[in-house]
Amino acid sequence: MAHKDFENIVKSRFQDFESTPPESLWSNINNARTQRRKWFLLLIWLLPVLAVASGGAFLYSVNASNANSKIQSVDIQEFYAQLDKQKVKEESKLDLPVIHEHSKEPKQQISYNTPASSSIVAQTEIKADSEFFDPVPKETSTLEMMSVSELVGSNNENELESRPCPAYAPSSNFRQHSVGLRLGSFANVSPSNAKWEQPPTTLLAEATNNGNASYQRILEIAPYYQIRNLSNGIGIRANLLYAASNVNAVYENNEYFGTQTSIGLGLGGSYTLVNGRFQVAAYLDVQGENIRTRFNNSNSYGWFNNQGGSQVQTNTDPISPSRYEQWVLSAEVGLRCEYILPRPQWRINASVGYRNYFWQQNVETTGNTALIEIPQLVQMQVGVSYVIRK
Amino acid sequence: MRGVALRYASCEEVADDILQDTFIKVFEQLKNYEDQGNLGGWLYRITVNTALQAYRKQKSRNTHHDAYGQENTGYVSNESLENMKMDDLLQLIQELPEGFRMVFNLRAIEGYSHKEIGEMLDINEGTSKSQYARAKKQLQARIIAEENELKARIYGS
Repeated sequence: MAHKDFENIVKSRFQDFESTPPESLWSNINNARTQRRKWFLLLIWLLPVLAVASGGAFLYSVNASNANSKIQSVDIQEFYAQLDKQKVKEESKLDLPVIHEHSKEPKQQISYNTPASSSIVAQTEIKADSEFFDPVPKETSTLEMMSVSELVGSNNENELESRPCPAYAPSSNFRQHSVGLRLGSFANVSPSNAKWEQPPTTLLAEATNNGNASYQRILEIAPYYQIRNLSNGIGIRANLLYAASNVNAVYENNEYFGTQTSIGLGLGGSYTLVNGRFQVAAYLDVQGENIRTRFNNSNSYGWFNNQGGSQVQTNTDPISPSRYEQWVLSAEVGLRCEYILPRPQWRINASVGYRNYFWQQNVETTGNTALIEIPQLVQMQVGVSYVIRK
Repeated sequence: MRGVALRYASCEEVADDILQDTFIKVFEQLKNYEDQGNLGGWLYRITVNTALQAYRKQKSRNTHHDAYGQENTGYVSNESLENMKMDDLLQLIQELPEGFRMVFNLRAIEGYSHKEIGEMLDINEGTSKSQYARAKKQLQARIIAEENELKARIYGS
């Protein structure tokens, strides 16, 4: 047979050749796709967590590396929390005697420059006589009256440690009051098409078939007021809340896209685990939110029934607008990292938390009462705060 | 698509693996397709590319060269090739050494030039020509052997 004929015949024989794949192939494909989605989701949330953790570790190590300097290692907040405030007050009222020696030897000037990054002072020059360190004055000294604030110029290490810093001196109850703003972004702790019937309890929860729905909280803005007790590390916080979210419901090949806005109020507590310039605190927040949902499908609307699935209804009997409003309660636990900036009133923070919603919503429709449940959320947030009073 | 995968694979299991990877790619890339050209042709190309990727992956893992089998040249009639069962013909192609099978599919059925095949499989153009010639000879020899065996069975009994 000529080569050309052989090729042509083989080619023509395979021209319309088809073969039906086994049924198991489709389930394998579904499994493989689900597995990839899970890994993708895990990766998406692992990367920011790792970023925050590594950033925190970096800041912590930078903070720790400054420990060589006695001045730098003193965190002004924690340091003053341990002071006997009453004693400081008394000292500041009284004029303290200071020894001024009259040595005949030439005076040696010693300068101490603190780095700009010091949490106490920026670029403070301290001058003292070298003989000041001598416990026994060599010659007759005269006593002069000097206030505590003037003592800042002295070079005695003990005095330096216990010296109040006028700008950051704590109040008598050692409470730090601050205001702040946090911005958060969230993701479901489940695949994006998770069913809402049973909120998944693990990151790799499986979706079920009774209609799919997804929930994405895009952004949450929360101004807050916090009071922290510096001596025991316990803080309380109250916040306002505004959030924007998306709801996506798929049922029988129809897709319903809804938008949500939330306003709310939160109250929480925290406990400081790591002190210093870089701080870590565990927190527990409880929030109440008023959520307004609007589905923007003009001809039909969707809701989520108490059987666990999303349902849709064609708008033949005009039911408009498809808006729902409800109050919900949520609780969140997590870790918050805070870094005190060179201007110590200012702090930046980042946190990772796990939020669970306890929905209390009943949506009354013509033929049904829907109960909406949303999944747990993992949240990442960043913020900035300003200490207004201590 | 499975028909294409079967031609490039050494057995059904491998073909189904190729098909599975193909479908996953299709699902991922479907949003980028945007009605450009023939959907069937697009699926076909993805299947072939996936098969080639699987081959390259296996080639990098398994460095042994394809065995050159007994290459008996003989005469294969048009009738015997046309009348041969599809399953048998497919099996003979699947039994070709890996590299031979790739070159044979790409040249005889897809119609690529040896230069293109060389680029696809990362081999010389000369190697492609030689492997194609050997694949064809080997396939013809096997078809003859099959034919002879069949005749022996019919006339021998």
